[in-house]
Amino acid sequence: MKRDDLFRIKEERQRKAKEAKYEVFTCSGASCISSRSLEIKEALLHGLKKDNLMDRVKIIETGCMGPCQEGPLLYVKPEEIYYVRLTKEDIPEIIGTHIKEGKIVERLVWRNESSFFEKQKKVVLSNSGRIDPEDIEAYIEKDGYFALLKVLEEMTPEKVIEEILKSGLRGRGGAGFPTGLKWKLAREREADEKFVICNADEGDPGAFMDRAVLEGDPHAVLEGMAIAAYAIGAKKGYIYVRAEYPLAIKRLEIAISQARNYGLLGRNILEKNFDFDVDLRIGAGAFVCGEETALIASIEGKRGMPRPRPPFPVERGLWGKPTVINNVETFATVRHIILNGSSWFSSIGTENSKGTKIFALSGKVENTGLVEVPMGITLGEIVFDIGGGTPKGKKFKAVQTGGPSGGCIPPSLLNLPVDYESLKEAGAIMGSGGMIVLDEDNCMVNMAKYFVEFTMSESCGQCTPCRVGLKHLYDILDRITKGKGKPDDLIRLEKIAKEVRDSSLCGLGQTAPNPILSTLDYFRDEYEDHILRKRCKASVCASLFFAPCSNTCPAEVDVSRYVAYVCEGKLEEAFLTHMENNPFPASCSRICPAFCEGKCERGKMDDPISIREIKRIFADYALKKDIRFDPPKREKKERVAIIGGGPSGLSLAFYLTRLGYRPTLFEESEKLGGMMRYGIPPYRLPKRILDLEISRIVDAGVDVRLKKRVSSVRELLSQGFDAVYVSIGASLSQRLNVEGERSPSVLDGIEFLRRINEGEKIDLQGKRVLVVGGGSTAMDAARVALRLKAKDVFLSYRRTRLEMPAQKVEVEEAEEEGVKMLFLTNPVAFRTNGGGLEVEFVKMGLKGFDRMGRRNPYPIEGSQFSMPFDIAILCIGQKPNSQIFSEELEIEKDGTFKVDPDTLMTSIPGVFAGGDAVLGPATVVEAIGHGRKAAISIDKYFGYSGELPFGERQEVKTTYNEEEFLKETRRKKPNLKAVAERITSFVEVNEGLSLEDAIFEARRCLHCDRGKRVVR
Amino acid sequence: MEVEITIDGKKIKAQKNENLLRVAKKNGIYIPSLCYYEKISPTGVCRLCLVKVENMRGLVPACATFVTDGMKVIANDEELFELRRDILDMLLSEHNADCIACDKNGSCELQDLAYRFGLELKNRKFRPLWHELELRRDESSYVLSFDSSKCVKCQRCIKACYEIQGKGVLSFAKRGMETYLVAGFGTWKDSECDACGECVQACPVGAIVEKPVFERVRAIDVEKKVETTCPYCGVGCQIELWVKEGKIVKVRGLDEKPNNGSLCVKGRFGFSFVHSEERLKSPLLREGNQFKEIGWDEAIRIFVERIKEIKEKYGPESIAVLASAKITNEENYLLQKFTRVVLGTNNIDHCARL
Repeated sequence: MKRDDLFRIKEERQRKAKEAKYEVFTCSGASCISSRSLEIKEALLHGLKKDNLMDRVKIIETGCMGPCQEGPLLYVKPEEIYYVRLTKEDIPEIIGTHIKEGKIVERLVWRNESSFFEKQKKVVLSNSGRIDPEDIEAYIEKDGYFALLKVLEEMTPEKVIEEILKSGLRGRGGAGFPTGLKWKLAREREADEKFVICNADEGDPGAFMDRAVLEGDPHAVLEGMAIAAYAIGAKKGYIYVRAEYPLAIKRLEIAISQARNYGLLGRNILEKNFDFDVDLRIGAGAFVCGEETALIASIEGKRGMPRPRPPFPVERGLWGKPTVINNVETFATVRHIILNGSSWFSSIGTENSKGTKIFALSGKVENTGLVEVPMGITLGEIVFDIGGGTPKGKKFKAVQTGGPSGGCIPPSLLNLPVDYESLKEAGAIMGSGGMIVLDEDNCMVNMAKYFVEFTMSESCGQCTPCRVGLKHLYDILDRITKGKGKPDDLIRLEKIAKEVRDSSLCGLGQTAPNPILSTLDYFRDEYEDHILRKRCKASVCASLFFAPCSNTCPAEVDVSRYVAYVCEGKLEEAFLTHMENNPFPASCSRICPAFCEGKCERGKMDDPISIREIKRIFADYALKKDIRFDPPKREKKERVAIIGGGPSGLSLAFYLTRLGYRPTLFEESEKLGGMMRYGIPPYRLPKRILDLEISRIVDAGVDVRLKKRVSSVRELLSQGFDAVYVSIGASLSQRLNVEGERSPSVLDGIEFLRRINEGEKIDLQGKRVLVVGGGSTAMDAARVALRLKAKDVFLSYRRTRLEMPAQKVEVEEAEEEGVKMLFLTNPVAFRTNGGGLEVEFVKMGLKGFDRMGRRNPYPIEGSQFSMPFDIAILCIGQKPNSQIFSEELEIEKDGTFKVDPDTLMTSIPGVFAGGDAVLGPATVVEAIGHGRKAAISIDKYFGYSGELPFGERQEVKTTYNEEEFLKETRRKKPNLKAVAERITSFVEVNEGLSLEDAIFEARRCLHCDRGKRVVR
Repeated sequence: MEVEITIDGKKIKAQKNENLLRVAKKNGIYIPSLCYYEKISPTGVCRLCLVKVENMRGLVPACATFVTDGMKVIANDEELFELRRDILDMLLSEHNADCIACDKNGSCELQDLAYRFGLELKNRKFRPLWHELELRRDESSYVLSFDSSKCVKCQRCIKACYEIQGKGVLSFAKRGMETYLVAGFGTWKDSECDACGECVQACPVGAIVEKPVFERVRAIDVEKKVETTCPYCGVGCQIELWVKEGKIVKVRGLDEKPNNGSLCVKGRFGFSFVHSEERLKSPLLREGNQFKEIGWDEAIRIFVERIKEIKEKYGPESIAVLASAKITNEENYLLQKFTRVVLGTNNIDHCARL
C-alpha cells in the first residue's frame, strides 16, 4: 500500500457513508454482549431484511460506547440519540416508528445522555462505539494510519520523540512515567535489536479501560506501537494480552492480519522503507505479569516474576535488548498527538498531567461505564456529575482508585483534582483507571481485606515482604472483620503495611498495602468500631451482627426478633423485645427515619419490609392493653439525677429502673417529652400516644420534678446525687445573620412549633408564609403553617431536593399538601414594608463538595430577586443550650458536650451526657440509644455489671410457610388521610396497616439472624 | 576502573560495576543476605540486604546494585536493622524451624541470621504459619530429599541448576504463600534432573538435602574434613570429604578450580564403594577357580611374562586394551602409546561412552 491508497480508501468510505439514510450502531463491547446486545443486532437485521429496508440503514457493530449500565443499546444517526435497555421486543417498534416513519421512539431514549457525556472529553475513545473494530477501512476513514504516514513522511525519529515529550504524555498504566522520555532513553541505547511491547495485561478488579480500547479501536494501538517502533528504532513488537479477554484477542488478531494485508504492518510499510511487525502473546492469568519485568520474563517463556530494576527495560528488556513497554491507552493516545500536535494535547489537563484519562466507573454509582475525562477534573465531578451519584439515596462513602494498588478517597476529598500527583498525595494512585464507588453499605475494613486477599494470592511469591508480609496483614484484617481484633492490631497493621510497602521488590508488593494505609488514614473509626466495639456499621462483617436492621438501629433494637414474633402474631412478645432497647415503640413507629429499613436485605430483592408499620401494630396493641412495668422491688442505693425529660433522659430513666435504681428527672417545661412533644406536631405524633408512653416509663419508678430548671451539675452532686445525666437537647436556634431577621415577622422555627404544640392558637389565615431550611423542622413548620390556613407556603432551601436532610416521605407529604419548594435559593434580606415582608433572595449554585461530601452552595452573583410574604419562619438548625454548664463541663466548638464516645461520661467523673446535647440536632432514636447506653455505663460506673435483666437472646422460631413469601412482592404501604382532610386539622396523617397486612409484611422478612452466632 | 564509594561513612575503593554487597563484605561491613549466592546472578528477593543509596529511589538490594563512583550508601542504621529483623521474622514464620532434627542444624544460614538478630521464639512478631500450608515433600530422587516447609524461596537452587549446570530443572509452582519449588513438572524422579547435587550445595537451609549414604549426618557431627581430588575421572574436581568415625559420610564440592564447587552425581554421591567389603585392595591371581592375593611386584612380573608369551605365540592383534575414565588424560595417553608402540596393536578402547 502506498500513501495514495490511504487517501483513496478514506474518500471512498466517506462518500459511501452518506448513501444510507440511517446509521445504527450496535454495541458489542464485552459488557453489552453479556446483556445480550448480539440478539438485538440479530433482531434488527432480521426486521430490516423482512421489511426490505437494508439499503436505508447501515448497521455498524462497534466496541464500547461507554454507558455500560444502559446496555444493550443502539446509537442512531443522524438524530444522534441512544436507545437504551433494549429487549428484542423493542426492535419492531424502532424499525416501524423510527426507520419507517422517521419518528423517535421516545420511551426508549436515554435521558441521562447529556449529564453523562457533558463533562467527558473523548479522545482515545473517539472511535470506540463509532466504528466497526473489525474493519480496517473504518479506521482509515477516521484518519487511521495517517499519523503513521505523517511520521514516516515528515518526521525524523528524534522529532517524533520531541513531539511526544512536549505533549507531556505520561504512562497510562498508572505510574505516570513520561512516555517521551522513555522513548528517548530507548532511542539513545545502542543495540542490534530493540523491541516495543504493549502491556495489555489489565488485571485490576473493576478495570476495563484497556479491554474497551482493544475491543473498540484495536488499530489505534497498532498504529501507536508502529510510531513508537519508528521512534526508537525497533522492528518487532509484542502485545501481551490476558487470556481472559478473548474478544480483545480476536479483534487484535483480525486487526493485525488486516494491517499486514494492507501493508501497514510488515516489511516496507507504506513503501517508506520502514519494517515493523507485531505478535500477540497471551497471558495465562497472573496479575503480576502486568509488572513490566515480569511481563518480559513471561514473553521470554519464563515464569512471570519481576526482577529488580535498574536495569530498566529501556536498558535491558526483552531478550536483554532495549525495550519500550507502554500501556494500551498510552499507545492509543499517540496518534492523536501526532495528528493534532503536542500543543493541542498539552492544552488539556493540568500542569503536570496532560491530556485525557479513561476511567472504568463501577460500584455504587448510578451510571456505571467507561468514561474519558480531561485530567484535572475533580473526583466529585466524575462520581456525581458523570456518574450520577450513589443509587437509592445511599450515602456516598469513598472512591477506590487504582485497584488493589490504590487507595480509598473519602468524601472530604471530593474536590481533589484527578491527576497523578494529587491522587498519590491522597494515598491512592491514578492506576490504570479503575474507579470503584463505595457507599454506606461498604465496610472499609472488609474492602481493605478484599484487596489484600487479592494481592496476597497474586503475589509472585519470590520476595519475602510481599509473600509473607501480605499474608500476615491479611490475617490481621481477617480477624478484625471476625470480631477478634486486638487493640494493638492497628499499630501492627500500619507498621507491617509500611514495611511491605518499603521493602517489596516490585510495584505489586510496594503498592499492595495502599488499600490498608489509606483506609487507616481516612476510616480509622471503622477499624476501631470493629476492634473495640465489635461493630460493623455497614453491616458487612457477618460475625459482628445478627441482622443489618438491628445493627443499623442507633438504639440497637432487635428488629429481626420482634418481626419474627409478629410473624407468629405474638404481639406482646414483640413489644417486650422492643422495650429491651427502646421504650418508645409507639412514638418511634410514627416518627423514626427507620434507618433499619434502608438496610433491609429484602430491599435488594424487591422492597424493604415495612418495619415501622410492623412496630406500630404491636406498640399500639401494648398501649391499648396497658402493659406496664413494675418499679424495682429492691432499689440500689445510688441516686441518679437526669437533667432534661426528652427521649434521651426518659430512656435513661427507664433503663435505670430496670437496673434497680429510682432516678430523679428534672424538666424545666410543664410536661415531659422534650422535642417529641414540643418539636413534633400531632399530625405526625399524636399527643395521646406520647403521653401514654411517657407515663408507662414514669410509672416504672421515676421521680419527676417538672418546671425545675437546673443550672449546675456540681450542685446536684453536692445534693447527694451520685451521678448526673445531662440530656438538655438542642433547642437553641441558629441564625442566618442577614438584614432584618430580627423583625417580628421573622419567626424562629423551633419557637413557632413549640407555641403550636403548647396549644397556642396562631392564625395565619390568608397569609403568605416563607419557611427557610431543608430539615424536619422546616417541613413541620411549613406543614403546620398550611394547617393554620396560610394561603401560600413556600420553602426556601439553598441546595436541591437530593441534599435535603429531611426524610423523603416528609418532603413528599409536604409537597402533596401544597408546600412550594424554592430550591437553590437563600434569603439575604428581610424588609418590612407596610404590614408585609419583602424577602430578597439570591439564587444559589452548587460547586465542589464540603467535608461531608455534600455539594457546596454558592451565591450566584447578580441573581437577586424579591418575593412578598407576610411571615418568614427560620428553621436552619439548632444547637444545645450548653452555655449554662460551660463553667463546669467541657464543650465542643459546635456547642455540644464533650464526652467519651463509649461511656458518654463528660469531663467530670459521674456526670454523663447524651442525646442532642452531645449529637447536635439528631433523631429521636439516636437520643434513645444514648439514654440506654448511658444507663449501662452509669451502672458500671457504680461498679455493677451493667447488664440489663432481659436474659440471653433467643432466636424466635417461626412456623408459617416461608416459601410463599419469597416471591417478589411489593411492600404494603399504610393508608394516608386525604390531603383535604389533613390540611384542615392536626389529625394524624398516617393511618397505619391492618393487623393482617402487618403480619404479611413481617412474613416478608428474610430472617437474616437465623442460626447466627455473633461475637460480642 | 577503580571508583570510590562511601558505606556507612567509610571510604572504600572498589571496581566500577562491582556488586555492592560483595564490596561491603570484602571491606568488613556486614549486610545480611540469604538469596545472594556468588555463583549465580543476583536475585534480590529475600530483601535482607536492602540498603539506602543516595539519589536512588526507596531502598535497594545491595546484591543487585552495582557500585558507581561517589556512591553514598547507608548499610546499617536502626531503621534498616528493624526492617531486616522483621523480614527475617516473616521468613521464620513460614519456616519449619524444627532445627533439632534438621540436617542443616549448625550450618544453616537462616539459623545463623535468626541467632544474629536475636529472634528467639519469645521475640517473634509473627505467628508461625508454615504448618497451614500444604506440605510438599519429594523423596523421589535417589540422591536428595526436598521439604517445602523449610524452603525460603531464595531461588538459589533454581538458578544454580539453570545458570551453573545449564539444566533448568527447577522452578516455582503456584503463587503467593503457596509458592513451592518443583522439579520438572512434578517430581524429581520424573524430571530431567541428573542428580548433580548443585541445588543441594546451593540451598542455604535444610530444604534440599542429600539422602544419607550410610547414616544422617550434620556438619557439626563431622570429625574431619579432607580436601582431595575426586577419583572418578580425569577432570580432577576438588572435593572435601567429611569423615566421621573413620568413614567418609559426605562429599562437598570445593570452591576451587577446576570445578568451583560443582560435582557430578558420582563425585558427590558415589563414595560408598570406599568402604565396601568387596572392594579390591590388592591384585588377585586366579589359580583354577580360586583367587589368590599377590603383591604388585609379582603381579607386574606375571603380567609382563604372560603378555610377552601371548604376543609371540598369537601376534599383537590378539591383545586388546580397555582404558578407564578414572585415570587422568595423561595416563590414558600413555596407555594408548604403550598399546600401539609396545604392544604393537591399535586395539585400544575407553570406557567413556556418553
